[in-house]
Amino acid sequence: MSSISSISSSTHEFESPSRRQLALYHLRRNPLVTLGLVIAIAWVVIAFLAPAVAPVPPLKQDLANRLQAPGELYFMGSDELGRDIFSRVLWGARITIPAGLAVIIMGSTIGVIVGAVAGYAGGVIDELLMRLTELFMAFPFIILAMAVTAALGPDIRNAVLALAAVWWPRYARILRGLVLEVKAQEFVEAAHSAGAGGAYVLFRTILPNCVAPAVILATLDIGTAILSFAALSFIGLGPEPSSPEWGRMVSIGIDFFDQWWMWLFPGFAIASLVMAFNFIGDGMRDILDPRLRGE
Amino acid sequence: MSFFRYFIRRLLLVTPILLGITVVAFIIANAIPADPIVANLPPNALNDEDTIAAFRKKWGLDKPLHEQYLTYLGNLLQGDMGTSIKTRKPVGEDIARRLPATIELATLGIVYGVALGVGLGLVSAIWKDSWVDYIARVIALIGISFPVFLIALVFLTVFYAELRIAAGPGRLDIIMRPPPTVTGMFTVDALLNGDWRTFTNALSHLILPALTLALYISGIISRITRSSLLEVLNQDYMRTARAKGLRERYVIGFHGMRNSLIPVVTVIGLSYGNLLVGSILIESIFAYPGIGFYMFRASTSQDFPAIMGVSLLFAFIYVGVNFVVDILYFFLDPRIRVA
Repeated sequence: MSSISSISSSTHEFESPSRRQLALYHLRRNPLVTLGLVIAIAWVVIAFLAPAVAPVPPLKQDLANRLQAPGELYFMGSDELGRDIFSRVLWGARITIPAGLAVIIMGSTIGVIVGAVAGYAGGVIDELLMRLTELFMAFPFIILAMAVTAALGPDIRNAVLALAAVWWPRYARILRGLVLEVKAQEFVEAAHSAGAGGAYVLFRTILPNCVAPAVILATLDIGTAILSFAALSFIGLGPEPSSPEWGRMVSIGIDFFDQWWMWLFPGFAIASLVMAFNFIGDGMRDILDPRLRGE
Repeated sequence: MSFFRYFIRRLLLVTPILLGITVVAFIIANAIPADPIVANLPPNALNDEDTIAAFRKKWGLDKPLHEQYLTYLGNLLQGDMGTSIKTRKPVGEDIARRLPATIELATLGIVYGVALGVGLGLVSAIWKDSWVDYIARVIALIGISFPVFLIALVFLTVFYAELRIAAGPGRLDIIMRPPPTVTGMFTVDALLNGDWRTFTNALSHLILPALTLALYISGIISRITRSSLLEVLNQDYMRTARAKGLRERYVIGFHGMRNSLIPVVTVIGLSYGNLLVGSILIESIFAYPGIGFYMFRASTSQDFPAIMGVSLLFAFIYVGVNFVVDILYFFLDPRIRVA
């Protein structure tokens, strides 16, 4: 390696690091983000491959081998109906990951729209929407989601809908503030004077300049969404009891306290996934929020 | 601004929120279920015309929606939240009977939780990037990432089943008799009765669930304490305080803590929501007969009136706690007094 090329390449890096180099630099400085990404991607792969790699179908009962401790027959033991805990934990990823993502995507979309409209329209509409937002924030949100799920009737779809319905207020607040800021800038005035309509200006000119913070918040939030979904299904307001859903498996496991494998493995599955998303979210905030980068 | 004016102003802000909560609860209870009668009455009462007619009349179901709301509000003001499908008793009565147990647990939980959270955040900020900081942050991470029911089960296995150093489920050992009821809180009642053995037994049953609750809420509290204190530690007045020769303990304890306290108090108020949710999950695991356990039973058996009653109560408590936090600002933040 010649010294000249190494100098020139390092000068080049100094002048304009490419996006990829920047990303790699930050990943190296935040090893926890890398760890989080590895765990999260592993779970997504498991979710896709579960039908192929799970040794046994998740609902298959084996009454002769009920409540088996982890061992040669069942790697993570079996439950009260002789179902394979390992296979059920793998299948559980297919419920929890989509549910968590759906809550975040729906909730943040509602919040972004409410906040953007409130900030852009101003006046009475702004007042009304923001008072509504405050009202929703006055509830501890999972409690509200419990009530809504109970009213809709407990199943996976309603649990997700209920969580999304209580998830949006923080996004609405943040987006409103950002829209107010961007609205005052000159390029928005330019768009208006070029004859663009209100909806066009809001959604094509203003919003693209506001979404980054919402994306950070959403990443930070996935872990909480997954925990909340697990809590709802733990108390019986999620999937039906036989479903290989992690929160539900733990809640059934309480009655089999001594058969620790029934609740420990699904519990760890939740914890590992949530922790992975928390690592990613914390890292993204550190990377994208320059104010905190010095710390 | 005088304290009185500040108090009244805050109170006026809280009132519409409380009313708003009843509107939301009314909408959930009456507009979302396909049929409120099916949702609110036990299945075997649905063939009984008299019961259905009485239910319609009591809640004004044949009247327009806004009148239904006023009926609902009127009933609510008299403490009437409907009848539990499972226990067949008025929800208000059920709640009143179980509330002291939860207050006892939540109080201990928040005391432990704040002590743990602020303590961890404090050492974590003072010895930033040391092994102490590292351990404190891992504990916070566990509190934030682990489902609280998993923590409860692990605690129960380790400290009760294996090590046998903590009492197990319930409020008292089975052989113990509850103390005569004064407040409904076993520890307080036992002390009032001078019954030391019952007191220690009740307390030992509280420790594990309270610690679980504490770990659950301390994660977020310690994170905020850490970052808020770190921000303050870099301020010029901290250097001034050191430069004028104050002891380090005093610099951090007085100048540092006091100025970093406001975000911490805010997050303590907000984590009360977590505390309430946590009580549902934790009480159900420790078979601790409070409101949380009641809510757990209600939701597993789809006891809709009970679920709505507890939700409403929790929302009110949450608003109440955050009102108190608002009032505390007056004492913590001198800028409010000047403004």
